[in-house]
Amino acid sequence: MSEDLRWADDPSQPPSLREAITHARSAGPSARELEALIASVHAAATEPSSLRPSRVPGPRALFALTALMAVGVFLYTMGVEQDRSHDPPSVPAVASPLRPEDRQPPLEIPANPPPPAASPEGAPAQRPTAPRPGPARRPTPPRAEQSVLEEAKLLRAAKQALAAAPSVAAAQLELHRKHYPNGGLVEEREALAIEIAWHRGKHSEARLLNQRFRARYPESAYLRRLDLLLRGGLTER
Amino acid sequence: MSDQVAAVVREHAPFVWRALCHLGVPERQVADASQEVFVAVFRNLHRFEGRSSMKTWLFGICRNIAARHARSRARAREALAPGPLPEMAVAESQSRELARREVSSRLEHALQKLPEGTRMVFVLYEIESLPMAEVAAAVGCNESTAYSRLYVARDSVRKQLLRVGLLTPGQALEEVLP
Repeated sequence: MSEDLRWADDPSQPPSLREAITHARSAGPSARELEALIASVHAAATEPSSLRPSRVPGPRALFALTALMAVGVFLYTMGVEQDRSHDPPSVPAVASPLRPEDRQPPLEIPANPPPPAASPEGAPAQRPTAPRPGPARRPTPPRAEQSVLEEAKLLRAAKQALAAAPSVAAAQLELHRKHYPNGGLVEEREALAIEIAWHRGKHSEARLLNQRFRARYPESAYLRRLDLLLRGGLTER
Repeated sequence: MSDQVAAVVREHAPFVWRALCHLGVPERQVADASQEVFVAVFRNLHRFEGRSSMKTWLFGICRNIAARHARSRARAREALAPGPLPEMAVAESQSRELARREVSSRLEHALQKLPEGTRMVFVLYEIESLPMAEVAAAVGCNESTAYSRLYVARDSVRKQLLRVGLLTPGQALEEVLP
């Protein structure tokens, strides 16, 4: 469906009406109001409990599987797989068309899903099952799995928000830095920080970050992609 | 984090401010409502994944905050007439500015008479210049319905401006203004 010509751009509309629309577009807070708003939002939003990502409850096995999937998707979106081949870019730079299920949740969506009725550890005796062949599973603490899942979710959100709202992506990354300063995905976070800085037009900062990243992670799989990005040869996200 | 907060607020405050005004939040409450919107944004930051536009997401939050404000002042029964538009960036000659403010004020009055769903389609499309697909997503209808609402809104705004003498059929608005 083609877009209708907007009144402000329609020469057949009376000039003052078009001007009134244009005028309405420039309305907003004054400089003083904006500064006051920034200060009040900062004070309210950076309380310790206010920026904590929600926990995702669930059985251990589900956590492990989902965490692996999340990390896999994250790595894919970072372009590692593209860098390993010479295929043309296949990840679109723009957001996909809106679908009902894609809409961001409004305020009513609770930040924390309700806890499960019973945890696997607390469940009554399970029916014995026959041992299945396969490699021995290394026990992983649920908390660590959960942490990695939350980290991956946050970084993936930042990565996906990069095209639509770079400043929001940067804030999401900062949120990760605040809550997971030594998390399991620090390398991914720092690589993403370079991308975000670059896409926000902070090219000097991106180059500086890239130098630090290269020194810290000389064997990183992201190096090639980041070099391409900083040379202007990478346009997809 | 303070830099990030400032960057996000600076970038999106004008949209949030206008959206709240058009959603009927009184001018004196817009600053407080804007703060609530951005606090909600930062508390739910991990939820935004860029699959819809930032404005669509923000508008959903604005709508909820505006509804909360409307409920809280329901007993107070404030006057429905909208206040003066927020501070404008451009300064022109006095008579020209007065004429423009007159049209802007009348336009705002005309918009306030529309049902919210129709008004917001007009605002998001004509003033915020969102693509119609995003407008439809923001107000929760399909594109065809959004277009229908747009045409209804345009027709209503035209009629209102005609009624108050700011538009005459077939006459440019410039001709009837001082």
